[in-house]
Amino acid sequence: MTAPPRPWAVLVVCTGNICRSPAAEALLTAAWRDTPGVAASSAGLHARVGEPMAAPMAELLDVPLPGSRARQLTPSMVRQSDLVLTMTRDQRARVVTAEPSAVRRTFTLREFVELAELAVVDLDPALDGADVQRRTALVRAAPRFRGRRTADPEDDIADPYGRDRKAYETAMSEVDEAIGRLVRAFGG
Amino acid sequence: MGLRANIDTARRRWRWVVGLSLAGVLVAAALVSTSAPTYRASASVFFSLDFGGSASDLVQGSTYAQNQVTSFAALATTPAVLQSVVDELDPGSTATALATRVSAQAPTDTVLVEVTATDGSAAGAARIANAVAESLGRQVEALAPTGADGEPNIEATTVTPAEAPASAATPRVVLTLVAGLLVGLLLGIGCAFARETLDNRVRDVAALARVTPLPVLGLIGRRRAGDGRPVVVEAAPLDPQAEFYRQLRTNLGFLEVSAEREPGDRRLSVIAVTSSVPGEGKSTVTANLAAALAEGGARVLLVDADLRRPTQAAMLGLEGAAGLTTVLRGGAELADVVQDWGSSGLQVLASGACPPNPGELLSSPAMGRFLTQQRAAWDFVVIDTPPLLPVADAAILSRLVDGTLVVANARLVRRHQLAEALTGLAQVGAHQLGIVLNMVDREDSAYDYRTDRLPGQARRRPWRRRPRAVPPTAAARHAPPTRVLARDEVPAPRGAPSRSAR
Repeated sequence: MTAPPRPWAVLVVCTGNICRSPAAEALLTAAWRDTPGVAASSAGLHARVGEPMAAPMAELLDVPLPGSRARQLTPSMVRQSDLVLTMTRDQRARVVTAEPSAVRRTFTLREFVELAELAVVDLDPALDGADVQRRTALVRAAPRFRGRRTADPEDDIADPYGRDRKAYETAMSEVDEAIGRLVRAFGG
Repeated sequence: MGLRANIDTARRRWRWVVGLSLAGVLVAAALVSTSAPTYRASASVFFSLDFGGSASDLVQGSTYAQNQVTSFAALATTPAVLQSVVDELDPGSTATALATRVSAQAPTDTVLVEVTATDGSAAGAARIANAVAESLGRQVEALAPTGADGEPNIEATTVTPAEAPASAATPRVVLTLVAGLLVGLLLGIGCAFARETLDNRVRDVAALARVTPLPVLGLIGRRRAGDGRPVVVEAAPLDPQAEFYRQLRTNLGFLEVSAEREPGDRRLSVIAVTSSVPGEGKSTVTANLAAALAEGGARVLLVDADLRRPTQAAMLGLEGAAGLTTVLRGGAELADVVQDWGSSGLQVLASGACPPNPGELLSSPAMGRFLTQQRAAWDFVVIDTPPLLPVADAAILSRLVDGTLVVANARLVRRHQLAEALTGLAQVGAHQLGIVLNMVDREDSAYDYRTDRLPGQARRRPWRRRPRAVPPTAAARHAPPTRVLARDEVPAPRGAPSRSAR
């Protein structure tokens, strides 16, 4: 297979782009190290532009830190992404408000993980695990399964910024768990 | 009000009947437990004439005593008798007070007087009875005429001394409880009927018929156990609840047949769903109807046009920030913001951000163009709108759509509210399709189904109370799309659309 002209892009969004979203970006990048044609990036709705990842969060991360620093989300970033994952439902609404056409591919991270796990069962088994088509099909199928689950506060991952170490640990373990399941759903 | 209506009332208001009956028993029990027990003891006094003589004298004496004995009984409660008893037993009291606790009677044709005394203690009652009997005897002997020898010629003998009774005379536990139960039961039944008379909700099809001649297109029973996913057609397709919505879908199909009077007549494509007041379950009905239509194979767009309190996105777990208002203000094309939902291809257009001027937006030319486009693009466009009474949005929209369904919550909306809402719709010239009665008591609806009044249908046939049992869900799930059914095979007039099994 020839590589697609543009990598299949996942954009992770949180508020400041220094805690949750860069952690998710780093974990995704590490997991997809050997997968060609995929790219993970992150941005913030109110980004602390230029800042590196917050130290308490970076300490908890056991993969290489993301190369980029905090950046502000723009509608064009959303347009160029194949999947947009936010940390909370409120952020999801803000992303969609900024770029309405992204409504079908914008989810909260935990929501998408659950939907993808439901959707992956019905997916055409002929599609290759690492294939772009399979990933696209999964993102397209995921919203249909919203009727099978209940949207609730569990869909959100709370912001640890400015809180104690325990809050960081909780956020990190929640992001880590969700990314692990996400990568499995996408087939490695 | 026939017998059945009365039984229905009693069944619906059984809480009142049971509750007040229980209250009656409880009050009785409280009375029993708080009232001090009283005891009753009796002593009998025998009177005989005491002058030995011939047999005829004895007979005469006995007759005399019988004649007098009633007076002796009356004497027992006079101070003449009681004063000495008071002096002896309870010097602090009075003869008058004691008289209320003492009674005496003379059984007919005897020379006996039976003295009965009541007291708070068993022994006390016996003591008083005996003292009164003795005093009575003394007084009678004192008052009676004396014989030639100066002795009284009447002799009183206490033949049955009073004994302390084993059990209390009052309270009478069983009698009181039964009386309490009966009074409570009667009160409960009275209250139940009073409430029923005062209740002006649209309880059932019969109550609805008094408000409007519009057909009842759906009877949505109350949901026993919700699991937080209100769109049962998708979440629990085998639930009887889902069957109610398939019934609604089928009835809409019939309506379409009857609406098509001339070739090329308007088809029933764009359907607004509204209600009289908030909280009637309008949005849930809308989503389920849309899901049921999609399940039948139609291409369905569900639009949340309740721009004041949009609920579809939250209910369906979708993102509501992009939707109808986004499209109307030109922020995106419909194709960009419509969201796929559920297994049957239902497409949902959420509300989008809430605008400051919902009414103007809905009556704008952009909205009219939008609906015209969508009417051409979909088999059905189902529109959730705000309730009729608080705001004019639904009335505005009703003129842009092919027909309006009004959801009436049997447990919430008042008859006058529904009547007012329907009048408002009629005034703007809306095409009112019919009523969906929501949250009906399932027990009632089981029988009321036969009175479904769809236009052009045969009159009810009471002996066909239970239409042939079609395996409900299987049949509905594999039924061809409503539209196809409606167009190709005009259904024969049926007494009642097949009702779902339990």
